[in-house]
Amino acid sequence: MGLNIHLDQRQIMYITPDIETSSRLDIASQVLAFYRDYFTAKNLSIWRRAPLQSLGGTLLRQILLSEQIGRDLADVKQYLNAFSWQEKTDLIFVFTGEWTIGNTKIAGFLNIYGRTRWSSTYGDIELNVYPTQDFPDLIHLIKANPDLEGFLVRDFLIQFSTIIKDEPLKVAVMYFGVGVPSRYEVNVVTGAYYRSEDTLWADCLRTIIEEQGQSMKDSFTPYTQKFLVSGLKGVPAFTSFVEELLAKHHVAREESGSIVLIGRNLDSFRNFYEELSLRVLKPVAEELPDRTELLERIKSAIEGRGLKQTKL
Amino acid sequence: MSYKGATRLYGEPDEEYDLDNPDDLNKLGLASDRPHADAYCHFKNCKWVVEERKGVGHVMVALTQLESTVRQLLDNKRVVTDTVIIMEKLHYSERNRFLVDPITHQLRSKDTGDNIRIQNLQEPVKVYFKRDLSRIIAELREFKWD
Repeated sequence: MGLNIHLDQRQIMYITPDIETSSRLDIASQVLAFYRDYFTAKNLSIWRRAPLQSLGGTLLRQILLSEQIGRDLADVKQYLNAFSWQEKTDLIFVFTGEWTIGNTKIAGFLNIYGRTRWSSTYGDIELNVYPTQDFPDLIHLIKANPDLEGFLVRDFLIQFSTIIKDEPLKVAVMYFGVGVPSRYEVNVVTGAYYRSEDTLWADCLRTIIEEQGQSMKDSFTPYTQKFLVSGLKGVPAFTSFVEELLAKHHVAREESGSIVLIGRNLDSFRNFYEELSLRVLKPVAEELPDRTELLERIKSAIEGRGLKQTKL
Repeated sequence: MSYKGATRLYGEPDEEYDLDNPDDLNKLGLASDRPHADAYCHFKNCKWVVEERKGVGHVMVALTQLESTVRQLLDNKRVVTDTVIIMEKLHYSERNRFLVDPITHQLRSKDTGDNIRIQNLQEPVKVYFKRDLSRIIAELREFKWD
């Protein structure tokens, strides 16, 4: 997973695909600028439909990047002028290069999935290493160099949303973790930025639904995520319980408003999430009337008023 | 799944390269700053296999590594007949993009229904799940390749 960024529009305003594509490229270039001392992007490939030939993608252009990535991206934007809006929504940008952290050099990438179908699986922007036996994920490489962890993880999560504050697209969620990028797997995250606390609780709820399967889905399906989150937040004991839990499992909370959480160890989030799930989310799911029960109540309310089904 | 070199899918390979070893990368002329798979080997049944191992997913990255390795090997006049990914399981978020045929083990795109094939190779990419590996190896051995 490495670093994964999910973007959205903060205001209700129409952003054309031109502006959106340009904003994604600018945000990616800011990511590259932040990590320039550690990750050198050497090539940019522009793909249509998918970022690989084996997945039916078409390589449109390959650009050897100079040290002036800003200038290269200006050329890329010029090149993109020839594309229609529809075509732009189908583009994927793949920056490949090399990570140098400590004494280790390892190939890496930054992918911009744009509005393609891949973004629903892998998020908007993904920055990682190409896995090796020793470093299966960027976070393993970073953890092997603890002196740099503060800058590479904590400082990035704290500073990045401010760095791109003038962009039409905003950061909704950013997280470092291991494995397949998935914001609905809070237990594999090692550090995260949530624009609002509600997003964190919503992601925890989605995680437990994905993890526990149908029974949990049946419990939570009748209720909107917003309703469940406001229900949790409305209980003062929940907030204080979470604070205790974060401290207990060495997950540091760095800010209020938007929140940045940093796990001290690879399993800090997992432990935090597992206890939250066991002691709050699962009991809530068990207590709430589930889908079947609610349907039964609807049925008995109707039939109780003398309405009987007489034919199909 | 922490081991070096290739999985013994068709018995002992008679030529084997551990692609996490810089010396082996050099021997094959593969660039260390480009994505590469975990192993490349030749079995006695004449298969030249490029192998990538993963925990849970990430299929897209595994395919990138396979594609890049195969392209470089073919450019260097090496032979590749098969590509395999060995993994624990498909991650749930990737299950809406990919499926693995339980009989043939071929990896398919859910969007198109087509097998996923690396350019210039006839055989589609195969995915073997770790939990099935001993059974699959036993089945493959029954073909008595040697």
